[in-house]
Amino acid sequence: MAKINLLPPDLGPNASVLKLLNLAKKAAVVIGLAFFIFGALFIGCIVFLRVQIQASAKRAEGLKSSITALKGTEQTLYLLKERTGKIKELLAKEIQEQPLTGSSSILLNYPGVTLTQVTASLGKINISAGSQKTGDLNSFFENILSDNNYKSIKLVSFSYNPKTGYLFSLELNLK
Amino acid sequence: MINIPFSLKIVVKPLLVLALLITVSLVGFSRGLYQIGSLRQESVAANKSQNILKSKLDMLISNEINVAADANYAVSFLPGENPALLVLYQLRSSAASSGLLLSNFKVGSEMKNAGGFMTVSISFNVEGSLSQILDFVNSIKAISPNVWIAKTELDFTGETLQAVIDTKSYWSPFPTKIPALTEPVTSLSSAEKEIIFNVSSLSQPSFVSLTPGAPRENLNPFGE
Repeated sequence: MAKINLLPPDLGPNASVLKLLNLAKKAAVVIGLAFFIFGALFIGCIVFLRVQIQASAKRAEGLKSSITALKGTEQTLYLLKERTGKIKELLAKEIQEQPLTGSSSILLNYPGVTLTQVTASLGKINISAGSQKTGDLNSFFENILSDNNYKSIKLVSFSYNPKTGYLFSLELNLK
Repeated sequence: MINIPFSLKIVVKPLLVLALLITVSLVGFSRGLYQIGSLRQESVAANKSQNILKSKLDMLISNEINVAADANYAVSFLPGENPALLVLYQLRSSAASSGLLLSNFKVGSEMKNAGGFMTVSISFNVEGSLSQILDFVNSIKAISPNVWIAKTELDFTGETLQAVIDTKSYWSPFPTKIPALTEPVTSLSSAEKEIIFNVSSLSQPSFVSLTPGAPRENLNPFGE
């Protein structure tokens, strides 16, 4: 059947306007569809994430209550770690080796040499002693000089008296 | 009245609807993306927190048996209070095992050191042979609580060898706060385990604790 248009042709919209309207219509359909598809996807995603967060929070609550039941162990472990840290600090600060222990061979083996006083403090030993014979004195000094424990050996005083023999005092600085 | 052309009249309305649709879609899209982004961050944080709690729980369960004994050794070596009495007890015991008798004990006042340490000085006299005294001096490093010899004076002029020994011992107050429940706790490192092993091999102070007896009936309250 033939199309009958009784309106004058100049009253109707021109072709470019009709084309634009057609394009707008298609765009509206595409945008509307995209809106609904993405909207559904977004809502699904949000619901999924919310469920996941809630489940995670529930599990965390369960773990928290289990940890609270082990609070005593946690406190003890924390104290243990704190103490070991402090002990490490203390051991680094203090020298464990006693000066006298390292010098026991000199103090115990001194034939002919009489010790009068020995003072051992941090890294240092002061020895006051006497001897009647030069030979004993020599071997005592040789014994000390051959010992590798000392950084420096200082002869603080040395005197001779015919009655008492040789009197001397040494300052040994430990390595 | 303004005369609007027919072509413009029929174009404006659909274009306005289209613009509105585009605007609504863009706003909705950006809002949705923002919401998903923040939920994702929340989910990651929740998972992270859950993992921290899980590893903390596993670690606490695995350490539950040994931790109390290990802490006792560590606290015994570095106590939270002035250890002067424990040190005196330990020094006496150590001297007795070397066949020596300690006398003239002097306990100094507490002093605060760097690093949060407190120190107390303890000096005493000891008589005996040189080898006995050297043995005793050597044995001091094997006792708990910690004792450090500051100075030793040996006097050979008398009939017996006299020694004056100045020692010091450290302690450090216990921590008053523990970290939050959600804070991670690391397991003991090999260095820390080695320290615990070393202090556990030291001689520990042992006390006899007397438990109070149960009340008993006095059958003759007027008798002796």
